[in-house]
Amino acid sequence: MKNRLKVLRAEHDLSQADLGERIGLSRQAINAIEREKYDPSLPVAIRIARLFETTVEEIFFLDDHC
Amino acid sequence: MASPKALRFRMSLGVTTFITTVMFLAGVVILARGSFLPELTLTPSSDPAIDIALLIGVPAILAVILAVGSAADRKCADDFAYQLLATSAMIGMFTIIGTNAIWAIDFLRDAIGIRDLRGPDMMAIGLVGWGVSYLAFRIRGGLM
Repeated sequence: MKNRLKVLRAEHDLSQADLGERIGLSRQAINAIEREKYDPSLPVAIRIARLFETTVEEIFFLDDHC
Repeated sequence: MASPKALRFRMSLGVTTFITTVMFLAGVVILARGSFLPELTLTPSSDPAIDIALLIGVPAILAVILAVGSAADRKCADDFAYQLLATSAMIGMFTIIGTNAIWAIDFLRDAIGIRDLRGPDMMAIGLVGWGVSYLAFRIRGGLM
């Protein structure tokens, strides 16, 4: 799954650690999401979307492969 | 927003990585040590009915307890850590099955003279499979 978390995080001037602290994830987890090595669970995706005051679909979108 | 205490509990990725690495090393040691142990002799069953009941009952009870613990983990642990542990645990289980299948090939026994697998070897193979896959996902996000 692809995402534009890194762009959103930069727009809001947040570090990975800051974002992780706000949504209850580790910095490593945020890094893994941004590198698209980890697809977060639905509750985490919703928490991220709420933090940036947008929808899950605006942040995460399906990859064409698999 | 989560409380600071809950956050500390969720910041457990370093802990899970440490524990998994230790388990992996323990698995390696158990497998290596097993090759120097004397030939295994199996104790015959004195009452098959009790054995069957225990062999089915103990894993079933343990599985229920672990399922409850896993539900708590899913709710409270770091989501990334939980996914890593769950995925690598499944790979560890299939590693046990795959290794047993390879060890069942008569050619290996006859041509190479590999030793039989013991009970602790099964656990150790699972730990090695679990550890390797956890670290692969943790470091590289998988190998693809």
